[in-house]
Amino acid sequence: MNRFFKVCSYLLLVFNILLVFLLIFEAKVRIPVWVSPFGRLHPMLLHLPIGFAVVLVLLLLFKKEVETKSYAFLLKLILIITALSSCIAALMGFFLSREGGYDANLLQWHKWTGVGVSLFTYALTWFHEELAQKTKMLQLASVGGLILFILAGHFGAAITHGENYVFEAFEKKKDIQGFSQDSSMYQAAIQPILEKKCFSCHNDQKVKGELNMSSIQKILKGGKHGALWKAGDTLNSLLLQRVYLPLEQKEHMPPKGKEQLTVEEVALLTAWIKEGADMKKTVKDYVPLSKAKALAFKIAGSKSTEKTYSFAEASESTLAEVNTPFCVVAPLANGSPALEAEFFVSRKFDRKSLENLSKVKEQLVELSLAKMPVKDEDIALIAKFPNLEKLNLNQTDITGNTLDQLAQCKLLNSVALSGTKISKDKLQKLLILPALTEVFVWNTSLDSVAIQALSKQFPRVTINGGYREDPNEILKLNPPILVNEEFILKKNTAIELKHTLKNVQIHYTLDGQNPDSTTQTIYDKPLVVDNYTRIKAMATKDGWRASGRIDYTFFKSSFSADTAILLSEPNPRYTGKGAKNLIDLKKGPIDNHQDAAWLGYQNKDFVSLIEFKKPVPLTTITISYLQKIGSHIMPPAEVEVWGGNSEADLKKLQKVMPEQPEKMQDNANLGINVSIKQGSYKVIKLIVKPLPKLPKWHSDKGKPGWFFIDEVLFN
Amino acid sequence: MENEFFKNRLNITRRHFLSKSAVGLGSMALGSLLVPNLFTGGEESLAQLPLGLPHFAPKAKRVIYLFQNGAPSQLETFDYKPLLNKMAGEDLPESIRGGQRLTGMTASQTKFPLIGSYFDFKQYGQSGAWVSDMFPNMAKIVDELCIIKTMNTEAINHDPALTFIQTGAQVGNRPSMGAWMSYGLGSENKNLPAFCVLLSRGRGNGQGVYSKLWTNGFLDSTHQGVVFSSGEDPILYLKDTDGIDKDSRRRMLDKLAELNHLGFETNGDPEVQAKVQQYEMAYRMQTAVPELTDLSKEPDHIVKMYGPECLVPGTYAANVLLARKLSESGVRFVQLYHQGWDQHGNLPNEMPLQAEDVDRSSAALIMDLKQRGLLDETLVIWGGEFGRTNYCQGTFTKDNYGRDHHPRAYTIWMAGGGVKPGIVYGETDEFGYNIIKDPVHINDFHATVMHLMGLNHEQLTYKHLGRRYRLTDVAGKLVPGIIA
Repeated sequence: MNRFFKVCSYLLLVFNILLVFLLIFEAKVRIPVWVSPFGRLHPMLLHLPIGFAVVLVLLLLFKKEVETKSYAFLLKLILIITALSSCIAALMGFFLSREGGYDANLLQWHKWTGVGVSLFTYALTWFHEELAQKTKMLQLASVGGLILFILAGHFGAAITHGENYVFEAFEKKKDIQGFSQDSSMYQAAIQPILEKKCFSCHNDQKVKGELNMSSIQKILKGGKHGALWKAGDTLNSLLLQRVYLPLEQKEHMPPKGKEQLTVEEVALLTAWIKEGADMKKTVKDYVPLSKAKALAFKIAGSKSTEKTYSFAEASESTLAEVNTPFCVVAPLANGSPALEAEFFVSRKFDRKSLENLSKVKEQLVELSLAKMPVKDEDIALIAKFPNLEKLNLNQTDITGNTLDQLAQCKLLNSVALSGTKISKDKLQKLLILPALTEVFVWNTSLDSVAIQALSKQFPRVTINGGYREDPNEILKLNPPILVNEEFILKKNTAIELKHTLKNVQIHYTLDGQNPDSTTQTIYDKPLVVDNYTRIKAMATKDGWRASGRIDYTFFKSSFSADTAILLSEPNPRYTGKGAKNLIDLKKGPIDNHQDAAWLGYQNKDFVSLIEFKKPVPLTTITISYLQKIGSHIMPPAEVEVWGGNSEADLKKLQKVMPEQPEKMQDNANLGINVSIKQGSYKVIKLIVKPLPKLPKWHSDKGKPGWFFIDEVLFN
Repeated sequence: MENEFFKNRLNITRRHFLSKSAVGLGSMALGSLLVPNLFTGGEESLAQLPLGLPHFAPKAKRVIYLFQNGAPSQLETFDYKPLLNKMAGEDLPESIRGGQRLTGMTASQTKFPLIGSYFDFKQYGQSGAWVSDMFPNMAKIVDELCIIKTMNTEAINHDPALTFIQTGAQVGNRPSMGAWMSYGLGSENKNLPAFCVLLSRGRGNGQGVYSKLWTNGFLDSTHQGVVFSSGEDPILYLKDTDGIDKDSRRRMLDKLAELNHLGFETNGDPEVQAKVQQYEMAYRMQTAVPELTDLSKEPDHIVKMYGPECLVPGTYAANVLLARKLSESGVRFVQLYHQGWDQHGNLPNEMPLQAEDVDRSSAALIMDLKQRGLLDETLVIWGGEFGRTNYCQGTFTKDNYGRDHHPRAYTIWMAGGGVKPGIVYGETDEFGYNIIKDPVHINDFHATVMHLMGLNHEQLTYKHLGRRYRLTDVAGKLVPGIIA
């Protein structure tokens, strides 16, 4: 017997330490699956300590009737068994509680009273002998223990059976009407939510926040902060404000720890208030488009938001068998037995992959064959998937002849047929499917009249006809597109334009004037130009508004110079790559004047000497410069061109004063054509004066202008 | 021995002490079996769920993110604030500004004159949402949109703000949203990358985009965003070289893979494996991509629907159309960037050009997905990296003004896959400056997008440099108010 006591005392120690340990690390504990059956034995085992406790009390009461030695032994035995069974029950209870789903408040109470029982009885096994001497203390301990037992038992019972389980029979029965079209929306859909989620704190007994929700009148009266809702005004309805607050906030309802409203319930309350919060309006009186009605039906129909499937999961090897790079079959989510299959790359479509899907015919709920060369006879294969819910046949080759075979798919609710040869009659055969709620028939022969007729005939099904061209809507055309990528044209290259639409006329100018639809020069072939040219173009087409304009500058280069030197240094901030910039036929970017392709001058003339190895016959010299008025980069004030056969015998050939802009203009890379007397030249000298003062209209008028050059071109 | 155990419980012998301690410790050890990683920090809740599948049934399978790069002004798009027109020219009250920091561009301004929208607003649809006159097509589909007026971020300059909304952190090197989705959900179509990036540039003042916005960060490089070219060929170098046929290409890849596996065995670098997968993907893309550019199965009126620019490669409209085709072909995450929304000045002239670029095609995308039955499984997001100030930057005139960066409140919209259609979520004050109801922080936005895709943002993690990272890192709350 001693051995028994010894083992028991060790077990008690083990279990109680384990219990305390688990409580300390409660938040971090993860219960493995194999433990859960132990947890679930809690409701059975908890009756043991209760029974033993009763025996213990009886023993105390009838102490005098029992022989002293037997009494001591019995007391010890029963006490230790009570303690042990309490402790095991508490541990099991702990495991069970981790499964969740219990009222957090009650659970806390039950947990701590239960643990209290376990520790209390354990303590008794240590001190019962001392207590046995002091009758008062013993009685006190027994009474205390008994109260603990009763409390723990009561809270536990309340968790499993609900509060007020015992006296429920005395409560006045409220008749809660089931969901029916004839009952009021409030009774059918709103009241059940309030009862389930709000009532426990806002009732005749417990009136938190002075709000009592036990009757319609009391609800309408509101609480401490006034009425619960303003009909039609979701933003100012207190109920919704509280519901939408973040969970962490104290005012959030239902409070943290209580069962929360589901997303759908929130949506329903919102929609109901938005649609007038009418307490009497019956469900059927709501218009068909009513959101509240749809949600009420949805909630009544399916209590759980996550869809569950009754069929078994397909094995991994089966999944591997049906998957190819062009037919992807995967579960809808981790752990879900339902599968979706999608086909990709029409050139690689293999009918065998579709046949192969019969291996997972139970599990297949979504199938997409969009753009695959699926024929009418393949519908028979699809009809073999009994649980199919969603089918995408967009842009397939089906004509609809065999769609009636899909009647075998009793759960099919969504079918997409956009871009197929389906017709009204054939669609009709599909629309009788019992579960069907939506079909998509954009870009088919069905016009809006046909869709309207079918919608009337099958109000259950949403028939989506999609976008239709509005003949009255006139759109703006997109501008012409420049084909060239280089803006320096070599000898025989031409300027090429195009447009992405057919039958478009491209109007253009080369003289800097803005073209419009009356401009007579119409682009018909690539344009060959002789010199620096600014091309502006726009497009027109019947039934469209004229396009915006494009504006490009082209530089022509017939002769490449061999050397260039700078006789005056550029501003140290904009030295670029030096003189060779001028003849490398590389354009600088318009939006970045700090790019190394640009040379910048201010308060100082640009002077450069450019040489050819052999004399060349020149008629025009083009200077390519940057105009960026906001950054003070302006056209030059004056350009002088000198020429000759050596540096020593240069003659002044031409001097031009370029036009200055008269108002703000966009940034641009522009050119100045300087015509010179035709002749043969080996050396050309350029002197360019930057604009000494910004014009009067400029916001920084009077400051010196900049001159930026990237290229000199010879023709 | 009898009763010894109970009688001498307070003066325990060493033997008893040791044996009891052993038992006590043993029971703690037993308990610790139920507390995984007790001594390795609090990571136990992050038990890795299998990759490549949603954690729970997703509301959306794919995302198309129409990113408006440069930050379009909320006050000229969806957040109508007539008070600003009434108070035009008056200084922003300090009580409203509340010490908000300024950018370097307006820090030297002594006055902050309020300015209302140059463009009129009207209410549209059953939701009665306000939309500016610049967006007539978006206005038509407003009942499909979930407009969130209370986005807010922590960054006040483009680079950190862009990096934040794209990768969940203001500093670089974190994986972007698309990379996380690719990592968590895998690709639907094995013949295309799971994460594609399309770039376009508008006519307004622009801000750069750069590869750190679509980086895989520390994730495997197969999750990196693949940037499509803006030319006629969206993916370069896919055609077989002259003289190389499919068979010899196949043989070459097989041999190369053998060599790479040998290399992997010696150096163990996982990037070698990634490279092999990328070669295989490229090989399959050779058959999948030509279908994407093929418009022959589209009806002619697609041009009117998306606007004529949709045929010009590299434009926003063309990218939106391509995005629809990519998404339809099972690309998880298509990320567009449209540059040119940074209106520090000249707003009344520049913004209509930007709006013209994006309005029609963005609305068309929603309609197009809907008529194909794909809208309920595709999440479309439209918006920028932060908002713009309610006061004028630079010289104040009634018909020409600019707006500086404003991180405290701005507007984006989402549509399709699992978001509530036809709602306006959240409220800003009358000045359009502060949020007064239902803020949505960038982290919350990420958490919600992940939720819609069937991912728990707290459970999709990657261990790097000794700790686990998430897209939302240590923050982020779901926004149930926008989830349908």
